Amino acid sequence: MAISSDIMRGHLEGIILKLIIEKDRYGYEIATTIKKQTGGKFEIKEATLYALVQRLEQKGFIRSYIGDKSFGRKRRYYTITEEGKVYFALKKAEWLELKIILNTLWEENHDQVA
Amino acid sequence: MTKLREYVERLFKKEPHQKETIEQIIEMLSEKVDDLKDAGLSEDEAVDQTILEFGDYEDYYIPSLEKEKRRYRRLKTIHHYRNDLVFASLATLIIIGMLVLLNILYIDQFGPWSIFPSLGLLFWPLSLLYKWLNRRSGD
Repeated sequence: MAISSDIMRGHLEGIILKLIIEKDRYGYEIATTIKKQTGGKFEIKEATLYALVQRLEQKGFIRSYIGDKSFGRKRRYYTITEEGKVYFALKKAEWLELKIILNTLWEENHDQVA
Repeated sequence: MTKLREYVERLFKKEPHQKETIEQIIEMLSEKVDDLKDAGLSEDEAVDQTILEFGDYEDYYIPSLEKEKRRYRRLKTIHHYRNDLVFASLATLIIIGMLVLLNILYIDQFGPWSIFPSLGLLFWPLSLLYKWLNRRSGD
């Protein structure tokens, strides 16, 4: 089942940052990595991805540089900044908390007594 | 690559974009085309697939720029109001000028009668000015 982009929207920034923290990547590489890591279950639209990457760069969370890969082709790689690491940590903490909340709300549970 | 460029430029024609943004997108898409070519596709196939998979305009806007889009829309209406205001002011000036001229040319027992229609007419640009200022200070 393809996951709707609605649900993913709020998490995409964090996910992109995570991939860039793992190693410097270029735009299309981020898209393919997402597809690969999820076994094709989630594919990010490139238009969406590039919009987010541009915004992350504008905010100073990532920086870009021109690097070359095989065949001498130039590619613009993105690398994380210190601010980006902080932002990622925040997003990650948010996600961990959200996971607990969603779990509680979605799963059957006997009314908890506080 | 010109096909790719044309596609992206057409896609983003609707909104005033910085050239830089468009160039960046074209750059990223060209990287993809290169990757696809490395995987064995021909130039044409690679470009077509890239365009096909890019998604549309909405995909670009949905995640990040909702806010900016709203701001842009608001700017547009402010711009609109300002144009209305300029038009109304000019028209009012011209009409008042004509009234005053008529008044001077045909002075009669009514005295400076042109003041009265002029006052009424002034409310046209004034109301627009009010609207414009309200819009501008809003939000």
